Amino acid sequence: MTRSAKAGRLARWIALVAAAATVVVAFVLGDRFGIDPSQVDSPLIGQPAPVVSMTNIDGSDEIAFEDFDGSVVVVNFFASWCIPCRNEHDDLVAVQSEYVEQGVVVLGIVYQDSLANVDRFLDELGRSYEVVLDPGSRTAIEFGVFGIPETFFIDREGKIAAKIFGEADWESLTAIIDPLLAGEQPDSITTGTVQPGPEG
Amino acid sequence: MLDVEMSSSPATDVTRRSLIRRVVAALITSTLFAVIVIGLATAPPSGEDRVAALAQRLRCPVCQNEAIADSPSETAQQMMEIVREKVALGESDQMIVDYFVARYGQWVLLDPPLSGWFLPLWGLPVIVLVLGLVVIARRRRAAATEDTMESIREARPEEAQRQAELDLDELAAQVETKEISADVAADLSARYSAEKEAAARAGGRSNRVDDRTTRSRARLLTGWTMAVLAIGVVIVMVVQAVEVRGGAAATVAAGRSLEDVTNEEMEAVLAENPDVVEMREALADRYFVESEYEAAIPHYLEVLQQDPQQSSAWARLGWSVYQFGEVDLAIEYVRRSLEVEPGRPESQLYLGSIYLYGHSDPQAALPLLESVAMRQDLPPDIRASVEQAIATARSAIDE
Repeated sequence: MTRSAKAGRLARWIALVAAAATVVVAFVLGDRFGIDPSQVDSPLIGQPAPVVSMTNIDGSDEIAFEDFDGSVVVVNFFASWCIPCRNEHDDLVAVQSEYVEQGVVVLGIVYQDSLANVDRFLDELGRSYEVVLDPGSRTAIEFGVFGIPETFFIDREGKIAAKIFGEADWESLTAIIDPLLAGEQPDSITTGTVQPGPEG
Repeated sequence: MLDVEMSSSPATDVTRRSLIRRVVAALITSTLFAVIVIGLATAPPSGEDRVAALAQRLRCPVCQNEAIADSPSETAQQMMEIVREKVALGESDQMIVDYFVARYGQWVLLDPPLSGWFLPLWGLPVIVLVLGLVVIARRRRAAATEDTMESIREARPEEAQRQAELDLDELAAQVETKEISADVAADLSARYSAEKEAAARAGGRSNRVDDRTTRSRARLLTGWTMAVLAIGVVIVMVVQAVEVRGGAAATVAAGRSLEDVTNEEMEAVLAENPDVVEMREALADRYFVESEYEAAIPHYLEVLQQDPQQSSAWARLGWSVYQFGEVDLAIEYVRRSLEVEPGRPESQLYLGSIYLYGHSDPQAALPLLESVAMRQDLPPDIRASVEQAIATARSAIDE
């Protein structure tokens, strides 16, 4: 009788601890494990560029990544409501003009913005490289975009080689393009934060 | 312990009847439980169920710890759309999850991972269940002891009374030697005293004994029902977890890529989901490529109803009706294709061919065919037929 009474109490204690543990775990799970995406490497590095068909902003052309086979492609997601996107625009234009002979193509992809706003943005800051639309953010999802600005680099074989998370500039862009042109593997760079939507 | 002969006395009948009742109750509960659990576990989840379930498991990448089901953002809505499409196409839950994980990383899943630190998490409900069963088993043994005591009491009340007195004496001795603590002793003492009184009153059936028996039986039944329901819940959870993890045999929804899906299956899916335009066009294209023009036509028509901007659908619809001698209609359709997408090579090829062979109009055909011939990327068999057609057109004009 004694032993079973003690065993009964032990069982009750274990049950109590288990119940308490369950409550704690429920709290933790409720918080759902937030992680900072800028600290996580894109799983797309090394994967082929997505197969998508994109329309340019004047509607005159359909563009796919396979069209650029053999070139290095700088894919920049941007929008008119994004301040760092305004800041990096000049450097992207400079990269396009300086590197075009070496087979580098810059491609802008509009992220959650209207054609009218983008037209105004480009009228103000200057047009040079091709810009395409992404209705419904389908292409952004294909690239695993968390927000803007994000810039992806596709190598000559059509594989996603690296990524800049945050505002780009001449230094960070060339730090990736130069190794790619030399046939080396560059590292991805995180320069700051990205904005997930117009409201912030 | 006393040795009791189980002769055919009223006490034995009572025991037997209570046993039968217990068995029947357990059988009924088990059957109900089996029906519910098997029903839940084997019913394939509907498309919407799967979409809803997946949407709860996928994290919105542009939000703060929200599932795509809960977020109004454009990205989340587009991801929902993608999930719906993929479910309609017959992709398995694991394939759909893999699609997003390949782009956003493991982070895009809201589930805690099935590894390392987190395995105990998944095991917790099972542990709690096992403990519950242990508690029930303990109760059962206590109830059984009471039943035995009861039958002893009925059969030999004087023996039972004497046994109770002996137990009380032993208890006193144990308290003396500190083998038992005071509160446990008080508990046991009360029990033995009650036993003694009950035995003293025994001779017929006393209400108190009946009450205790009925109560303990009710407790037992409740315990069993709860255990059985808990087991049912655990089984359902395990089945769902295994299916969701893509376990080999246990998956309810078979996973394949689009290449393995047959035309019949696509027809069936489209019957359920008439608005998945891309899939309908893909099926129509399949029929078209297999030269099954009659099957392709209704699907192209439906596609164009929903999306009149599909230049490919217009062109192929035109070529399909041309096969049935509808030359004018074919020309109209293919022209529409070129209105939507000017200079489209496949459309030009069709229109040129229809003008040449269907309308005997080489003059109209030639510029179209020559435009097609200028493209660098024609497959050799197409190039051959284009050049053949141009030659035919030119000689027809020269005549």
